[in-house]
Amino acid sequence: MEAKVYDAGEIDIAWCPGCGNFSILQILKLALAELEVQPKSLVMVSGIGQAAKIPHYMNCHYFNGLHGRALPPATGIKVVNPELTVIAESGDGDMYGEGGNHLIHAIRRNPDITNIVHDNMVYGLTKGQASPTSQFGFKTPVQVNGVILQPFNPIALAISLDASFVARAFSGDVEQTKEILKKAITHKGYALVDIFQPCASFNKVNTFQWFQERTYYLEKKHDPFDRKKAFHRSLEQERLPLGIFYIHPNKPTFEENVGIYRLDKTPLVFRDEDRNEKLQKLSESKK
Amino acid sequence: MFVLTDQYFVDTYYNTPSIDLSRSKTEKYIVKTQKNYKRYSLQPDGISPRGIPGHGEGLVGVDSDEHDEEAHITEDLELRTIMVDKRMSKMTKIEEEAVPPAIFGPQDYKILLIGWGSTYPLIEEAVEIIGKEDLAFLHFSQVFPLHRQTKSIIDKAEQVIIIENNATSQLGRLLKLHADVNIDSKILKYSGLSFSVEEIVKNIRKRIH
Repeated sequence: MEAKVYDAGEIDIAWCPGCGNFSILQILKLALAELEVQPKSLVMVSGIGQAAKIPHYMNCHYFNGLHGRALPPATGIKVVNPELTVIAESGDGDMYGEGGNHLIHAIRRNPDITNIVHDNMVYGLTKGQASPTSQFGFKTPVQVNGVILQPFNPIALAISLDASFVARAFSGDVEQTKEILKKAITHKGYALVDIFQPCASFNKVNTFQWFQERTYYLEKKHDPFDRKKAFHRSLEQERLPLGIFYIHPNKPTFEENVGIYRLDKTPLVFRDEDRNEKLQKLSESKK
Repeated sequence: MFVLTDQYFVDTYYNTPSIDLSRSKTEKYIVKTQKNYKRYSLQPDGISPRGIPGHGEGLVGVDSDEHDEEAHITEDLELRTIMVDKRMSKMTKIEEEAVPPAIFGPQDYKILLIGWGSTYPLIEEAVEIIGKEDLAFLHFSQVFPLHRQTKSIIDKAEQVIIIENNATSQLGRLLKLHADVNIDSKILKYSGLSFSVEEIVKNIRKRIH
């Protein structure tokens, strides 16, 4: 399958020239095409921000909802129709700031979805305020004396919560990022992929070159099934590791745990349930 | 649709009869999509057929920002106006379906009590205790949009008393704004507790002759 099946046609893209979002969009299309995921069976779910506009630039189903609220509808879409491939994709501000609490509980639920986060360490849509991943001391028109908070570490948080797949990538490396995304999408369970990307307009510190100089890939011998070691690696700050940090294989998913597919695999959304009988039972149970 | 509830209602539903659901019907409004499906297609009544991902040939997009018929975000000012008109036009149908307020007591009332939500059984009991021939109670189970008959029902009364479990008479304000009715007096309680029947009876007696 060719990546162009995902092209949205004649569209006006709001991203600035040099924005890392362009390469993430292209890499995602390539990964999906190689996995033969049809546009008709893909749902892209996002919140608010420049990264959150990504579903508008693709030919597929999409749910571009509220700020920070990509993960709850993504979980809902997956649980009512597990036959769909569901990707929740937004920026670091949306997913880790406004959506931080949803992130924690989506990891705990472990729906079989992929969570891609465009991490440029700044709020780009609103023109350059500090985001949760902004570095300590990072100066902005709001944080004029520099950020006084320690940056949020999504990789460490996800591993600490036993997320079933945790990876970090860089938008400047098409091949490796594509391979990571393919593994994340085919992984059964919640998969987080934090992708470093430069913001050409509002982050003059964490540039393309900065990411290139400060990142390196986890060694081949890194064991992604060792949670403690993975956590240890996630704390590295001087140079930032890329690659798959941690995998918890065969962890039961939310769809499996809720029990609705134990006897019947028909997606919930296509079932003809006798609601009256169930509602009556529920009503009686409150007496 | 917003369903309003309150703690008093939830704390006491064990004490109310079960709803008979045997005759209620589940109606689904999901359509199988065609190839060029548009989630927000412009329709005369403002209501676009609802498709879902994975059902039919079309692609389904939804958006929280202003959008075109396909759901793609837009900053086109003319389209913005069209989409606002589309959403607002749905109100006509919603108003047609509004639940009318229920009247308890005589149809030729002179004094009308107004209440909504969980105060219903309390006010009904108070009306029975007072037992006045020209006293009726009007209960709203839907507060917005208001049923078209609302104004004529309330205007028929000589004296209107509203009973609400909040500090600002929220329903009273809504009735004034959307039905232009006059309310003569208010019985409001906002201590955090619900009304007792006795205090409603006492407060009504103070206001009627």
